[in-house]
Amino acid sequence: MAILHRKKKPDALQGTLDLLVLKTLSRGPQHGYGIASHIEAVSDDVLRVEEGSLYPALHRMEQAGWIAADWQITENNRRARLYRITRAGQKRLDEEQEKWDRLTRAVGKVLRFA
Amino acid sequence: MGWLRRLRGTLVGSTAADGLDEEMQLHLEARTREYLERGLSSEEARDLALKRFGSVTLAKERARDADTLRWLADVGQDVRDAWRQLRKAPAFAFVVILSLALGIGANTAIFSLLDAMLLRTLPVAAPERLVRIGSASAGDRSSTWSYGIWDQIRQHAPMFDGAIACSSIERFNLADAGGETQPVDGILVSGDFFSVLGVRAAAGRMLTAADDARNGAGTPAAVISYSLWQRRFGGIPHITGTPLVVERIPFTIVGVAPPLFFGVEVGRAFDVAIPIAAESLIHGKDSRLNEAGGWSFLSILSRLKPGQSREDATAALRGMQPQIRAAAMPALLPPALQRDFLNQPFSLTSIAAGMSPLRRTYRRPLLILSAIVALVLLIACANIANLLLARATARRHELSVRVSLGASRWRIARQQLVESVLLASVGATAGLLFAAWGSQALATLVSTPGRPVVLDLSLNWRILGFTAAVTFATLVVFATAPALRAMRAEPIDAMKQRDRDGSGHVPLSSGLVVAQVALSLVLVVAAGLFVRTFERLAAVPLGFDGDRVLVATVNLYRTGIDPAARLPFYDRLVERVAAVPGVEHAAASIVTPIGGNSLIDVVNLPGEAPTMQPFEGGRLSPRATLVNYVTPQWFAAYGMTIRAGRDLTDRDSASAEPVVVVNESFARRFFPNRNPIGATFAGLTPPGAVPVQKTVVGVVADAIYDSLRDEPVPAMFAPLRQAHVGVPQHISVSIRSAAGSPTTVAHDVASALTSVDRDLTFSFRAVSDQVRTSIRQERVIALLSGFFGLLALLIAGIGLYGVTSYAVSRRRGEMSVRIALGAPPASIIGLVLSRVCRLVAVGVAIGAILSLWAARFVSSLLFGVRPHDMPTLFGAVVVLALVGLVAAWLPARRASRIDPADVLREI
Repeated sequence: MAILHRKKKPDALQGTLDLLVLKTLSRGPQHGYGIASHIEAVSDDVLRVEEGSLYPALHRMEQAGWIAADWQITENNRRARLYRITRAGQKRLDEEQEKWDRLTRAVGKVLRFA
Repeated sequence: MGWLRRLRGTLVGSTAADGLDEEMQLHLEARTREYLERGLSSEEARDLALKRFGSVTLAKERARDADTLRWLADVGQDVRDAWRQLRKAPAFAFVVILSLALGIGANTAIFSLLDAMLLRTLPVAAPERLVRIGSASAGDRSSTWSYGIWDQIRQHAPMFDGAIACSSIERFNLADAGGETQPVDGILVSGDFFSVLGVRAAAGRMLTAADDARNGAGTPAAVISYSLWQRRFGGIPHITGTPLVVERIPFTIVGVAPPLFFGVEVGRAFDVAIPIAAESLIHGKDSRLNEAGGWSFLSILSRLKPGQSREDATAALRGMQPQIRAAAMPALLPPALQRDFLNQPFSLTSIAAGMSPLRRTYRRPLLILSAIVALVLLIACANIANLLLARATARRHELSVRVSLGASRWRIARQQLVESVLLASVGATAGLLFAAWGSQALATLVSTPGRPVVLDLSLNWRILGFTAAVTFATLVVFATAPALRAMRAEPIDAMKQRDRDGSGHVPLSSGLVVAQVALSLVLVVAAGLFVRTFERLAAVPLGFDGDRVLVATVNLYRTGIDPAARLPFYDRLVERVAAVPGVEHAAASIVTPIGGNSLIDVVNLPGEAPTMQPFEGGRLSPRATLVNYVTPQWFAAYGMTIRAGRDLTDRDSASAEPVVVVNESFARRFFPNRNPIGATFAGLTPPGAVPVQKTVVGVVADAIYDSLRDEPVPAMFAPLRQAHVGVPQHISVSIRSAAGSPTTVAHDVASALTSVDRDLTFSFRAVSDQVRTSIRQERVIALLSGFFGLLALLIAGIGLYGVTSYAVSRRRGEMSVRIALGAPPASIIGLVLSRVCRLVAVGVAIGAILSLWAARFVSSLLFGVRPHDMPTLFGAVVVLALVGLVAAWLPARRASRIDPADVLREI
């Protein structure tokens, strides 16, 4: 009985997480832990993924068809769910990236002239 | 295909969240390992990993929220919940589903009949272009035509996209030899009947124009129905070429009609179709084809050309009218009528839905029945609404708890709705099954042995749509109030230990009960009127005693006896039958009581201007009389009393003075205040002939001639030997048995008939069956309305009981205080009853007004009872009051036995 069922508003942060995940996956298939680690490593630990929200996000993106997932055996012989980016996801990534670039450019300009 | 996977996940009840568990577990393990590698203890590593991850449950919850088809899963959950709730209250579920199944089923069954009879189009190609040729002044009652007219229209058929003719359904005897008949329903059709209708054979071929040529060579062709193929021939594959004897004439089966094709008459179906031309082979000199008098027996249909309007076609046909009419002028038509005949304009009526005398008979009864079943469903809805309201009230506490825990009101109302929808769907499904059985049973109920009613009652989108619409309407009526009530649940209610105010519930329930009582009263009054109509009809004095009379309809077709030799032959037949042991009297006649036929003549008294018109405005004129031609002993066979004068005797031969015995109504009408014995009069006389004067020799008591509903009408009985209408090829022999059931002598009578001529064909029927059959429709209506009236009473009783019980349980505290203060049990009972009495009184008052208003719609179906019959209304009121009293008595008595100490302990 899902009594506590409320609609959530999409927030800016969620969009960012999508972008980061898609970008990570565009470099090759990866499992959840790998995605989180990669983001942290590349951003010099500045961006720390809230791990609890990573999996719902992955699930949601899978539903949206941007990424696909399979259970596979990893190199060290463990079962893992490997995510890879789909064609729709690639398109989405390009759009998001452009949006992001525009946004950062704009923010940068504002900061410079302020 | 993401949505497919999502859908599967939703339906199976497991979302991707299941795999999520393992995945997150793996993540935590990996993180723990990482911390271990950094040198933390295993416990610290695990703790830190968990801390960093956050709430696992919340993550899962969010992942589930991501399912876009989540609502579907919720509804699925609601359905499962509703199912569980209903399983917990099986008696409630049973009552609701049963009443819905009965209500929806009855409505669907009646609608199926209405649909088959009134709405469905003929199973032929382009039925919308079919029209029937009628006579503008005659309306649709008598649009049958003589063979002469058909022959002319056939020659002018190119003005249409084809023209066809057919007889109405007749009985054909398929017996190979003499003896008892093997009757089936048959039809005479023109050669291109099937091709113009666009009906293709299921096997072999259909008839062609060549089959319908008069004086054609070889054995004539016949087409049989699919049903006869299965029934009589076991569906053998090579049916074409099989011989088939129809009325002693050998035919050859050339093909089988498709299964669903019944002809163009809705409600009847043919088993054998033969060409119209073959009729002359069967009836020889008596053929309707040669009939110079222009025997009207053919319905003529034509198909409009594509794009041709009915007005254009009518104009074209009327243009041809003078030639057609003139060429088909019946030779025996009196000159006075010839002009009328020539000038009667043709008219065309659309018959896309077929033609049907059945429609006229059953239209009103069916409409009234559908109103009755609609009311029953409405009463059942009121009851279900009340039951659901009571349940919703009982669940108030639970609902309030859920509201305070954050459930949305819409969600709670939705659950209530899902429960209602579940109930309605199960009820509707059961109702459809019930309807399939019920409509067939109804069709059987209105069939009579000689006239089976055959209707295509298979399901179609109209019926399914109707059922769906009725179910939806039902749902709206019974589910709205409980769902709204559920939405009103307040968190504060959860704080109260027990719900004591139940505000708003009582007025609504009371309103529903009043409506139930009012509608039930209407149904009980209707049932009363119809049952009394049937009783009155069954009690109509017949004027004859038919209980011991068997009628043998004897047919000479096969014997080849010369018309001149028929009379002596009939005499011999009657003599032989009368000699059979166990037979008290035997007599022959052309017409038998309630036999479905009548002969009509006019009475031209000496000195009056002679009339040749037995009808006036579609009814018998005051100068008309019914006629029958009988042999001596006929009155004795029916136990009819001669009031004055003498009976007909053997001396009243063809050469003797023409005589008649008249009934009392005849004597009163034509010889008021004088002795009719010895009086003379003349009847219908062919043009140019000298009128034959008949002398009245006796007066017989009034008796029913054709219908129990008829007022006594003048009738006269002439000796068969003096029959100026000619002696027909078939005759009815009425046989009175000495004792007991007349059917016991049937076997011996059959051998006696066969011993006179073994080529005779005959069939038997008991007069008492005939009487019963004639009031079958009234019986069916009385039965059904009675059944539904009782059902309505039962439902209303349950409703009253429920509401009273509920009120009593709510006022337990008040009652116990009254009892503790010394109120006697009788006053407590009075308190409860007075409330119920008010409800019943209001309901009855409204119901009485409704009944009086609605009575006008049934008046044409009543007999011997007025629509505003006060005893019936009063009786219905008493019955409802009694039901209300009983329904209220039980809870009232329970209230009077409340132990105040018990209530005190509960507080």
